Amino acid sequence: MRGPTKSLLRLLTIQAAWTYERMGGIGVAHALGPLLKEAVPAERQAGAFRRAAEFFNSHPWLAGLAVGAEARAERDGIPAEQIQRLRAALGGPLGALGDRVIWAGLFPALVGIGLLGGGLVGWWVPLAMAGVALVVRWEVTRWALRRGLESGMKVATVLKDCALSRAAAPLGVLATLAAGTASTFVAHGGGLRLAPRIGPWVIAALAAAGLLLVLRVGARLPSQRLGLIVGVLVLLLWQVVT
Amino acid sequence: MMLEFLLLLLVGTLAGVDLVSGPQVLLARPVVVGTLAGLVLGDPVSGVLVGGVLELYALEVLPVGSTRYPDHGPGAVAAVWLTSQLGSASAGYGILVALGVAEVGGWSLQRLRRMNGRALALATPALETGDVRIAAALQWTGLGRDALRAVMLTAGGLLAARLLFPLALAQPEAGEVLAVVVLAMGLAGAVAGAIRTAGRDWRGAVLALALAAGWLLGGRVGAFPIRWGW
Repeated sequence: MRGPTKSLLRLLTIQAAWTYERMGGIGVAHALGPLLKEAVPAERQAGAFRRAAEFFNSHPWLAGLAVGAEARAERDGIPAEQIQRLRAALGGPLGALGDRVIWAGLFPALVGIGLLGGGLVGWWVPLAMAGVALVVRWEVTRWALRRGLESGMKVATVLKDCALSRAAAPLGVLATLAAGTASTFVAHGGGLRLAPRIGPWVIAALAAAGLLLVLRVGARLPSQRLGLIVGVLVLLLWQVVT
Repeated sequence: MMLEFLLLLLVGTLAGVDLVSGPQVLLARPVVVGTLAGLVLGDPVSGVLVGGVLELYALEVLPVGSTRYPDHGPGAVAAVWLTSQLGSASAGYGILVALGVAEVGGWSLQRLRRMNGRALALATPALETGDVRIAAALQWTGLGRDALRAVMLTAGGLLAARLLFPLALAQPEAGEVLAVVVLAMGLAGAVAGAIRTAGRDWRGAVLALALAAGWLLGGRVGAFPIRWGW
């Protein structure tokens, strides 16, 4: 297997050794290994590997850009300080772009479509959305690594003009539409299946109260914790009352 | 029975590993995990139903960096199992178990990161020599730890669901009330997440329209999911 292919496969599990101390640094070093071995002179490899394993934080889907750029810079013999500056400068923008496009755009959009399709068409739709995510993940990772290897120290220009940056806004709208529609669709239809004797407006009213609380309290009380607390209380009360 | 259990463990493990270690391709999302667990149990309707309700909670979460976020995948397996055993009336109980497991899952992720950190501290002298194999060893052991974490979460969830089984069987009315509670809080979470992402500009209006359309569609279509053949 060639270096870039090995590196591409390793990028798929780049966060396996994620730590608070170096975040994704070890994953970057692991993915960079085959590229260093193939293209960087032996006397430079140990130093390059040490630099690669230092602190690095970005989005896992886009880390290939940094890995590719770093491999190219090491191959071109760029001074170590410049490579370290490149790493430091890349992490933030890659993270921000990935969060906007993947976590807040593509994922809720696919999940929303999966929920609507799962409710209306068949069980295969949510699984098909996971298939789509897998294909997009592969292609984005492959593109990122290739562009990083091509551009080296000029990788910032790739980020400026890439299709991913342009996709952020439309994906955000699609995510809002799909996830928004799917949320109330599941809640209303789920109520009709799970509690047909209780009116759907009870769910809507409780959800409105829960929403106010979640928005007011913020991160300390996510809906999942609120649901757990209220659910346990209801169950305990039921034992007392009945 | 044993094969079913092993397959459920496998589904939960894949979900747990996919959340952070990789490849991060929606395998950790409850609607996907639920559907897979439902297929293993021969009951994809329960899988999509339970996974769909849990997905409302997952839609609030943005899994960014070092923040603590719940792990919904392994618990979804247990919720689907309980629902497939006792029918829709027990879904509320199952989802409650899944929410508890998700909370423990979030805590376990932080523990995992600290364990990875301790392994890194031990390996740092060797790492500084530039030995490439050290990074591979850290990656593989990290992946193994994460897989073990996911197996334990899935098995723990299934055990909790089994312990709740008699109560769910005896009190289906409580299950109905629980279902309303978990649906409502899930909807609150999904909308809160969407509001934070959409902001207050014109996308807020798009969100309002989408929410209204989904509610009307849910009323028009009826129970979620519809009884599609398979």
